[in-house]
Formats: sequence, structure tokens, C-alpha cells
Amino acid sequence: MSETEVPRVSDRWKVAKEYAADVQGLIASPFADLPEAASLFLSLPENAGGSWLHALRQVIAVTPALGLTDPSIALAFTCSGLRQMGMDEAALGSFSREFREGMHQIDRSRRLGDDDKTTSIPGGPVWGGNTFDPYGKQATKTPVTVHAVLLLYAKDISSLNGLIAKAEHALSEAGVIVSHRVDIQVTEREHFGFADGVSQPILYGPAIVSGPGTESKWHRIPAGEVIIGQTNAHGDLAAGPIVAEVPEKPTMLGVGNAPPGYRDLGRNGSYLVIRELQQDVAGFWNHMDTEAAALGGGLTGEWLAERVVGRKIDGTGLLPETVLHPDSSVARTVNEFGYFNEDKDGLSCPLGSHVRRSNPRDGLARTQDEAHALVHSVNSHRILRCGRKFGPPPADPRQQDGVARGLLFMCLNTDIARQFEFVQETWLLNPGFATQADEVDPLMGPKGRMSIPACPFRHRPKIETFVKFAGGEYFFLPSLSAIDYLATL
Amino acid sequence: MRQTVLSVVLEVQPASASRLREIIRGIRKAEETVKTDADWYYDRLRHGVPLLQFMSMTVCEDAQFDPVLVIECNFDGAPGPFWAQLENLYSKELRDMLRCCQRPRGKLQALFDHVTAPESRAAIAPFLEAATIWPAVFHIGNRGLPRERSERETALFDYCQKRLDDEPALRSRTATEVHAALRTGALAQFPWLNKPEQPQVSTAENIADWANLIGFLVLAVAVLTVPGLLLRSTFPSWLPALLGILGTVWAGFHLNWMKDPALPGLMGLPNPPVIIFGIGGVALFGAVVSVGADRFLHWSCVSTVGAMICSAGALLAVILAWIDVLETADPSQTAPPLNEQKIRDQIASEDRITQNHMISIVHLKPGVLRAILIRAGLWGLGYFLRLQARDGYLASMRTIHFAHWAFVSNGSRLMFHSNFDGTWESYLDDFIEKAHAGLTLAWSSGVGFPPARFLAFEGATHGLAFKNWARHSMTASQFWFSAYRDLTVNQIERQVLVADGLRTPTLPEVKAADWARRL
Repeated sequence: MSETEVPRVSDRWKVAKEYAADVQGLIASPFADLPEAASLFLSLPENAGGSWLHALRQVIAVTPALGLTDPSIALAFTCSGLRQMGMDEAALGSFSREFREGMHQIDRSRRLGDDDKTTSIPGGPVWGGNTFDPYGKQATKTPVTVHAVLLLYAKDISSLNGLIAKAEHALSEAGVIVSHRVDIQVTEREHFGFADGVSQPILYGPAIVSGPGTESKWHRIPAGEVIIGQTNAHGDLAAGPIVAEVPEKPTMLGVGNAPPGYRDLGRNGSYLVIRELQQDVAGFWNHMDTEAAALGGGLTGEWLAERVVGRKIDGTGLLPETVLHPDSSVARTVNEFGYFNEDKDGLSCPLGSHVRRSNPRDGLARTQDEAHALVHSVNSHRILRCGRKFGPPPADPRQQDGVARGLLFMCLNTDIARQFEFVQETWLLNPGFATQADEVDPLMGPKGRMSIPACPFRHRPKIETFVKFAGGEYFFLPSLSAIDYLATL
Repeated sequence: MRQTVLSVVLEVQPASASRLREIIRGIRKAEETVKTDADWYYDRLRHGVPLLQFMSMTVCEDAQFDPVLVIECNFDGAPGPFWAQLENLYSKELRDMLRCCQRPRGKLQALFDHVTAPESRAAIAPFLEAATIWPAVFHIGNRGLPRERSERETALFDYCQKRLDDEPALRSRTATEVHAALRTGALAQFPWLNKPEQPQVSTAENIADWANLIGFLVLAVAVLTVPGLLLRSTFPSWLPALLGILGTVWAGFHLNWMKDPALPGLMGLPNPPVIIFGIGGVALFGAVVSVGADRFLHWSCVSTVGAMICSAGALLAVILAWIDVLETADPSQTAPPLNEQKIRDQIASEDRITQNHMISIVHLKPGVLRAILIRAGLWGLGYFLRLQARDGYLASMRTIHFAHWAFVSNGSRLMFHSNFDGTWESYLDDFIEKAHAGLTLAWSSGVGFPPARFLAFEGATHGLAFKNWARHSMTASQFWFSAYRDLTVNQIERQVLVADGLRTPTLPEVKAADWARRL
């Protein structure tokens, strides 16, 4: 598939004018035109307040969704960060449970599959928010405590370095430490070599100006799935945090959807999920080769890897040839397909492959009548991905070079439980997903069998885990006015 | 093959509630630590009560009621043998538990005293059987599949998987040959493959299911038409016709005819305004027939039938309008008080195995019409599900093993139990996105439920409000048992298909290929 066939997210829709100056640019675009980037994970001093944001603002400004600018900047906070800045417990209590508890809360960690030693890096994840948990058991402590993340994007490495130096200087003046840093890039392929980022939801709603080619029934989701305050897929206004009005304090926050006596802190913001995932490329490919050879029949490592991922290496869907190359007309956009009519039994794209688990489209339907309703249901669980890769691409994918590389997975959503966690738990790690038994996502899950439907009967190789969790957290990505408010803390 | 869903609900002496919880947790602890030769997890219960599929024991607290002890049981066969097996295993614990409960009044009292007296050795099963609360409506995912059969078929399924993994040479054969090869080996190890299984739904059950639904519909029609019959037999024909038309017109004006915002169609039915027009039409038609047949043709029989039709249409219209009156005035709890600690306990107990469990008790809204409709609604829904949901699917969801609703506290509260595959979040989202009408119908009579329309519309579609409402009504069970910790509803049905295939001596290639896809 060539790049032109699937327009980039930013080409398909824009944030409407009256919202664009307040919404962070990262929501509207993953800044693909700015290939060099760094994520600076920040630790704040005790009682940090909001003044460090003033100091930071002197040198760099968070980018609004007004259009592409070089450089671009995004900023988000963990719950422990907001607490450290002095936000009161009542306001913190108005954030969603997932955000308040953090990704490493003991039950959440279990449900996300992060308590499994084989799916985390040796010694366990390195960083997280270390959120204080007044109820239940204490979350697992990570060595590095992250209070906020500053994402910097630039055209080239030298301007990025300049930007980082400026930011670091201003931050250290304010007593803020960069406690963890991941340099990230835009690459055409993820490190295993697959074309990535093909399927992205397309937003619509009053806060969105839709571009051409956005009628797709497969990918349209209401803006409230990504932007707090807008209508979400369940027809509700996406809930966000509120703060009590204080008469003597400036009110840069609008009333929005807040009840009388409160201001809307969440409006035009979002929740940002970040997971640092290390990839063992040589391990993966050598394992694919070995397992494919064990299957016999001349199957190659590439063949198996494509089934594990659920797409061809070039990003094309694994669908019957008749679908991909219809005899008559011009091939339709390759991402506009369902599984129900084309590949119900998974003979082309295995039912348990990573791509099919991440977005089952209409594949979980039992009848044709259900198929349409099922797409609607599946689209109530989509996430807007904006992750990037870290580490250099491997010179030889089958040669261990000892270099750390992987994916800094990032996604935006407004209901972490119904979107990100649902995808992780109900689709990726669900051992009973789509008529399967005791199998999980072959790419992300712990090692296990993976059924690949075939004639006369399925293959069932054992797939090990080569993607490991190294750290992560849930962040609140505030609107620009909310950042102004936070600076007054 | 019969399966039974029931629960026992007893009021607890408030001061003994924590002791009761400790006893129940003690049973759980013993089950989770006692090791035997085979499996160690809940082994004693698994082997001691082979009829049991799912069971929970919970002490539920409520600000308006004393705590209640709920024992929920889902098992194979009739209650007698099950209670005997359970008592045999837990006789001491059950007696101690009952001693924490309040002495019931009425006919249960003597039995209770007998069982709980100091040093008593009296059988507990008769009391539990007598104290049983039957569900108002229930759903069984794998209907007619006893646990014993699922266990056999699991072993067979695993056997087939192992052979396919270990014998790559089979890959070069046709599906028919693969089937034959597996069958030959399986027969030696699983001789039961040669014996026929009991049908999942027997002919007698099938007839009963149909008879129940038809009987229910006939009764519903009778109830709606009887007023017309009575009026017509006592008064001249214009009176029932006039009353019917007046009722319909009132209902029509109240519902504002077509101005009502269109609601999404329910299970293929047209939108409510269309239904109301239709019902109004029926009432008018009945009135015209009744008066016309009486005045001009002097056909008294036809006139009576007309009056009955008019009565049914008018009553339906009036009931719909009355429901609307009630629903417009219904307070809906937008922010149910969520006890964080309680919710943490629930979350900590969830997602440990393939299935999850939920128990919720809610208060019911007052009023005669509501009381009648919720009972009739659940009753009819139950008969409908017995016919409709036989292959594990409830609408497009195939995740529920056993679920039921039952009235407790003398009909003032509604209890819900479910044993389902996957996470609580995904279970509720399934309902919100795919089966909200049935759920709203069953739950919209609960105090504080998100605003519903005409009993079955909206309600559960208010995703977040509905989830909060459901969460706050739940309690983490002190004890919950699943007889098969890693089988989904789907997998149990899949194993049935695999076993059925192997029972057949030879399969032609097309059928064999279809069969092999299940492996």
C-alpha cells in the first residue's frame, strides 16, 4: 500500500475554529511532519505548585490545534503530579477512577497483564506515577516517579536538541527534574518491520470539521471519544474533572459542562495513555523462523509473523485475494473492509492475530443482521493512537545487537476503562476472544499457543513474548486554558 | 436435561453479620488451601457436589434493610439431590451460618428452630428447600449441558488438540481422514462416544416452553379483553365503545401523538408513536365493529368481540400513557453514592478467572401498575428467553452462563445474579451497546435507574450513569464458585460440536471440513 492511499489523520479532520485555540495540537495530529521528538518524563519537587509552568512558558509554549507549527509541544500530567502541584482532593476526586488510581494499581496491573513477569522487562517496569492510593492496597512502586510528561517535536535533530536544552534549563531552574527520557521518531515501519498506524478512528461532531473521505463506517467515532466535553459513543457528554470556583482567583476556565459553583477543568482536554514497550527484534524473528519451520510445509518466518500481526509486512490487510484485487474496478481503499463477509473463519487473517484483536470490526458478529450493529459496538471502544518508536532500526533483524528499541505507545481517549483498558483486556488479553480458548494476543500477551485457521485443520504454534512493558502511566492532557489554570496552583 | 437456578435469601441478625461473613470466608479459605491429589482449587466442593455449576454466598447490606444472606445456586437436575450433596459437605458451616440469621416467621419457623437448636443434628436441606426463592426470570447459557458432560467433552477436546499438535502427518490428509483418525483413537479412550447423549432440550421441555409462552400470551389477551366483555354483557354497546375511545383519545393526547421524539425501534418493532397510532386504530376499529354489529346487524356475538378488541386497544393505550406519566415524574439518581472501599473490594475480586460474578439488589419503584408490569414483564421475558436463547446467545451476546432476577424482601427489592465470561466492564458495555432493551425492561422499575421510556427504551443506554447505578447496587461475594474456571459459554458449545462430530462414524468431506474448523 502506498502512503497516498490512506490519508494521514490530520488530513481527514480538523478541530473546529472555536475549539482549536484551546485544544492541544496532539489531539488533532501526531505531528508526523516533525520526525524528531523527545518525551521528557518529569519529577516535581515537593509542593511544586504551578509556578514551574510559568517558568516553562517563558521558553516554550504548548501547541494548540490551529495547524502545524515547528516545533510542536504537548504537556500532560499524572495524578500524583497534580497532587504534588497542590490540587485539592475534591478536584482530584472528579477525575476518572482509572486516572486517580494509576496504571500500576495492583488490580489494574493484573487486569492489564502487567503483573506477568514474562511480559515486563526484567526487574519490572521502571517508571510510573506512583499514585497515592488511600483505599485498597498500595500500587506497585516503580523506581522512577513521573509527575508530568513534556513531548517535544521538531523538524530535525539539532532544533530538537536546542528545544530540549531550553526546556531542561527552565525546568531545572524551577527544581523540576527530567527523571526519564525517551527519544522517539517517526518511521515508516515499526521495529519488527511492519507498516504501522494504518487504522485510526476518524472523529466527527460539532467540534470537528470533517475532510473528504471521512464517511467510513468502519472508523468514524464521535469526538467525545477523544475530547472531553463532547458527545461520546454512548451518547453522553464525555466526563472530565471540575474545580470549585474561588471568587478571588482568576477564572481562565470556562463553565463548560460544570455544575453551578464549579469550573470545567476537563473541557477540551483528554486522557493520554503512555506505555513504553521494548521490542526484542532478533528474538522475535529467530523465534518466528524456528516456529514456522516446525510447522512444516515450507512456511517461513515472514508468513508466521504476518499471521501473528494480522497484516502483511507492507501494511495490507490479510484478506482473500479476491477482496484485495477485485477483478473489475479500481481497488477500493484497503482499510475499508470487514471480516464478517470476507473472512469469517479467519482463514486469511487469523481470529487471534494482533490486528484483528485490536479492532475486530464486524468479525464478532454471528449473522449478517448483527454485523452492522457490531461495528457500532466495536467503535465504542476505539482509541486515537499517537505513539512513536524509540531506538534505531535494526541493521539485521535476525542479529542480536544489544540496542534497546521499541514503541512508546501513546493513545488518547476520554474513558480509559471503556476504551484503552477494554481493548487491552477484552480483546487483546481475553483468552476466550472470538470463539477461541485459552489463547491471548500473540504479540503483546504472555507466551502461549496461537491458532491459525487452515485446511484441513489449524496450525497452533507456540508464540513467545518479545514485546515487554518497561513503564507507563495514565496522564491528563489538559486544554490550553486548563494549563493556564494549573499554572495558578 | 434439567438445570435449576435458585437462591435462598435470609435476613441476618445485624450484630452477627460480620461473624457470618467470617464463616463464609472461612469456607472459601478452606477450599482455596486444602490440597488433594488432583486439582487443588475448590477440589472438595467440585468433587463433593458434582451437580454444581456456579454458586455464591454473599452478605448484602442496605441502609433500609437488615443485612441478608444470599445463597445463589446453579446446578444440574432437581433441587433434592443437590441440597443433599451440599449438606453432606458443609453441614457444620451451613448450620453455623443459619444461626446468624433471623428466626423467620410463618411456616419456616419450626423448620428453622429445628435446624438451629443447640446440638441440633436435624437435616438442613429441608429448610433450605423450603426457604428457596425462585427466579422471576432466568437465563442459562449452555442450556441442557450438565457439568459432567462438559467435563467429558473438555477432556475429549484436549485429546484432539494434542493429537493434532503431535501428529503433523495428519496435515496431508483430507478432513474426512483426519476425522476418522481422531475418532478411532478417541473411541478407545472415550467409550461414551458410542452412547447417545440426552438432548439439550427434551421434547417435553420444548412443548412446555411453547405452552408456557402461548399460555402467557392468551392470558395477557384475556386480561386486556375481559373489561370489554364484562361491560358489553351488562351495558348497551355504546358504553364500552365510548369508554374505549375516550381512553384512547386521552392516551393519544397525553402522548402527544406524533410529536413524541422518535425512539429507536425495539427488536424490529416500529417506533412508539407508530405503535400508539396502531393501538388507537385497533381500539377505534373494535368500537365501530361493536356498535355497528349491535345497532345495524344485531349480531350480538360480533358486537361482544368488537367490544373486547376495543377494550384491549384502549387498555394498552392507557397503560402506555400511564407509564409515560410515571416515567416523566420518576426521579433518577444521577450520582448514586459510590462507596470507594466497597467498589475496590468488588474490583479486587474480579477478573481472577475466565468468568466473573455479579450480585446486585435494588429497591423497586412503588405503584400498582409498576408492580403488575414488572412481574408480567419478567414472566413473559422468561418464557420468551426459554424459546429464543437456547444456543448460548442472548441477543448477540454469548457470554452468560447463568443469570437470574428474583424478588426479595417481600417483593420490595429486585435481586440480580449473573455468572458471565469476561470483565464486568465488557459485560455492561455489551448490554449498553447490544441488548439495552431487555435489560432496561428488567431493571427500569428499580429506584434510581437512569431515565427510561416505555419500560424498555433509553435507560441502560445512558452508559456511565447506568454503570454507576449498577456498581453501587452490587456487593462483592464472600464466596463464589465456578465448576470450570477456564471454559467460556462459547467453548462449551464448541466442544459439543466437536464431540458430536466424533460420534458420527464417517463425515463426508464438506461436513468434515466444517467440523475440523472447530478444532
